[in-house]
Amino acid sequence: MQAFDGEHPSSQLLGVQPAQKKWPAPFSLPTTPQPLSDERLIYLVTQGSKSESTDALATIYNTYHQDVWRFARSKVLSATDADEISAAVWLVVLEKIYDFTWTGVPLKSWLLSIAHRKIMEHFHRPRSLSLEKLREDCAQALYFIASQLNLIDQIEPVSQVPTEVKAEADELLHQMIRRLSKPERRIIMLIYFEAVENATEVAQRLGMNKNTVRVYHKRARDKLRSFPELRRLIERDSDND
Amino acid sequence: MIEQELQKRKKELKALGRFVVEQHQRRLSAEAGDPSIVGFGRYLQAARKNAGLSADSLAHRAKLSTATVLALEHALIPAQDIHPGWLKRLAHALDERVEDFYLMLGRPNKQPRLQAIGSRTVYFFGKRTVGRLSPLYAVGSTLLICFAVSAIISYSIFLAQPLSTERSEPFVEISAEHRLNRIKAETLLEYQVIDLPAGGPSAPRISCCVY
Repeated sequence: MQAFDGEHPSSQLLGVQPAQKKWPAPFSLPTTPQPLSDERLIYLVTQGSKSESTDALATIYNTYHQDVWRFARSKVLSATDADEISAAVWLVVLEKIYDFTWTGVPLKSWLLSIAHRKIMEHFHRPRSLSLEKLREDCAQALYFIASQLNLIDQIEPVSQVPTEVKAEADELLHQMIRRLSKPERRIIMLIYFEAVENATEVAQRLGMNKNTVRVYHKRARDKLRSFPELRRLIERDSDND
Repeated sequence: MIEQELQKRKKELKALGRFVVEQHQRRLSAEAGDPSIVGFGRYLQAARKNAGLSADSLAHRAKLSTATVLALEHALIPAQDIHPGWLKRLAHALDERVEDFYLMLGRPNKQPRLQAIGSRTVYFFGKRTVGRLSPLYAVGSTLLICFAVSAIISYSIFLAQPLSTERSEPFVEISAEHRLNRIKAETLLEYQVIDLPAGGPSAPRISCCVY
């Protein structure tokens, strides 16, 4: 049946004007979603709502995590090292993304620069490998331990140390506390790793008397001072004085 | 080769991404970060490096995913989501005490009583000895339980049966002529002895009645 429009023979009688426009489609056809730009993703992460921010971060991770891993793997000897470096990179991203200012530099460049720094820390090698630098790092680590545990009198507490020095200090202390007795070890663990400052809290967490904690703490400190690694540091410090 | 390794790690990297996004969500919800998990993560990493293990090796030993181990070390998992089974397996893999992990996480170490006895046994005998003897211990304890149950059942059955198949007469036998004369019965009858024969229940019965 012919459409009732201007072409119908009766249109002259009814004065129907010929159709000018095409019928609009009743629904919009699906289109391929355009990927969000880096700038838009950063904006959503920092300024968007909770769901937008989460989705944007998930998009960033899904888009770039393989590139980060490949980059790390190309610089290190084993795939397991690349896994650790990737995890460290995304941890930095979590912490620093709110401070990220868009300057036109692609997000991938930022991520790979973080990965490069983490690879350098992994090797403990800023520019060139040197034994002296390694010894210096070890001494710095021991100094950090001594300051955290107040093993040397009149020593200023060191708060800001490079990440690799802190990691080395953690490993050294973990080795040393294995030689302590169980209560002494637990007290040192709480003070160093958990940064528990007062004896009351330590006693509460251990379920011990406060005075007993003080006694064990003193014994632990004396034992640590007598270990060869720290004894050299303490003797050197007393010589300097 | 890198691509092959990346393909193998697809699942692990996705799992790591989930942890990262969840941590971001928690920060957006202004949930206070638990400082205890940061200390625990540092201790775990130091223990792993001193043991000479990579994250992958530790995950394999502790039967966890690499993403979980890395997330624990980097404090991406909140303390309440850390499963006690993970801590137990990680402690076993690193030759550490699980009580120390509980202490670092600020959790009370509520060991079940049997486990506490077990840990004291390990301390007394040594881990290697107990490790070697644990299958024997399991078999021995099972046999002991079965023996105890069977002993209880057999004892109760044994007690239910009478000691003698022959019915013992509770009353003293009084002859008919004396039955009506009570006084005479009392004076004449002294005792009636029923003795079981020495040869067993089938041997002729000797009874001796004195009147």
